Amino acid sequence: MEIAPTTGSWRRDPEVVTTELERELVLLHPATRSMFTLNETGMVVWSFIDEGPGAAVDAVVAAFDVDREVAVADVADLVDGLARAGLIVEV
Amino acid sequence: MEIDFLGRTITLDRLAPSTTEWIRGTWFAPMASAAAEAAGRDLYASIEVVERGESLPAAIAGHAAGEGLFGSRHFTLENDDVWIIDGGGAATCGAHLRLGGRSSTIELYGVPFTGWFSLQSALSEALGANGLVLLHAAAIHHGTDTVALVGPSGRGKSTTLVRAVMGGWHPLSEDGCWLDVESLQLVGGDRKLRLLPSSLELLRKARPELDPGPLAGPKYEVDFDSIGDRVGSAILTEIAQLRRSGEAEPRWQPATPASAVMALFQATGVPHTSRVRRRYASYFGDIVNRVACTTLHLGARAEPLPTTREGWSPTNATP
Repeated sequence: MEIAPTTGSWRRDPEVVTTELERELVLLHPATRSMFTLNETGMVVWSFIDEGPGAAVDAVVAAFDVDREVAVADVADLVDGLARAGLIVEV
Repeated sequence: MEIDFLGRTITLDRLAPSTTEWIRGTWFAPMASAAAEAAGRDLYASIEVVERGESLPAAIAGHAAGEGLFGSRHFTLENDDVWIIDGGGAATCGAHLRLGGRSSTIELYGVPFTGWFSLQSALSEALGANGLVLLHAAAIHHGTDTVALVGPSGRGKSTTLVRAVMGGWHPLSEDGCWLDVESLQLVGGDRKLRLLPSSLELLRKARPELDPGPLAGPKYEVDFDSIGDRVGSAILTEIAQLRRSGEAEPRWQPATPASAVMALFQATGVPHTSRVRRRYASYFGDIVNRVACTTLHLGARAEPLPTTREGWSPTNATP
């Protein structure tokens, strides 16, 4: 499956269960029983992904004071991983 | 008949004697020593278990279902309305669970009812909705430390329990224990140890008089009370994930809270209903903030696991 993570619209799979910790977020996909851990950058992306990858990039730049180019690459990687794991779905 | 289950009330209604006996023997005997701990807390929860005396409806038995806890299958009618049927091809028994706020019902189908996996799974789900979680874990206690040893099947929980007992720890559970999320009270639920021949051989070095009887499948069954001074319940202080490694000696190491959350989900299985899945996620986030999270590298040799940790305390370590 080809995924173009920085374009399109995405939403979190509503079945995914999240456990929020101080600096990490644990995601459980109940259907596949797969579990994932997001770091602080990932937590920001997860929070904003329903508003689109562009909003997630903006949030990462604002939160971590990184170059936009770096943030775009980080968000693309993460969206790709989340999509392949079925944690987010394209709408 | 009503049974107190760590402050939660389970009402048994119209059950066949074999079903009542299974519930009493499997679920409630270990609770007697721990029941008093729940006194004075607002834990009211009611679970009514009713045996319908009817066959499992054909439409239910043939329903394509997802994999569930304890080898059962399940499918959801609505959010909190779930059928749990015993695994295998031609299911004849099942449990219909309706979760309420603090009141849930479980209706049993099958004549005679022998769907122990589905009943266990339904009870576990209903209790899980009310703060009592069944952990697939061995547990050990010494001094102020109570450690839940978690890991997938085959990782060595039973063997580690034997090693720990030989090293001076008290056994609390070998395979299953109940955790009250609010109080962190951990209650052993095993009446038997199920040990591989290699683990039994190890145990008999310390207890040569032990008579395990014949093999039950790939394992020997040993009376739990025969291996040492059992602790019925204790307050959980640590979650230790078991790891195999090439190191000669066992070694304790701090672990991240996230890895402990994942280990807890592995130790409980994924609940059937979205409500209880969300509860577990909340419970586990809370628990890992209140107990130490560690990894126990098992070491290459099956030798006694000491109670001392060479000056290192899990409570003040950081991953």
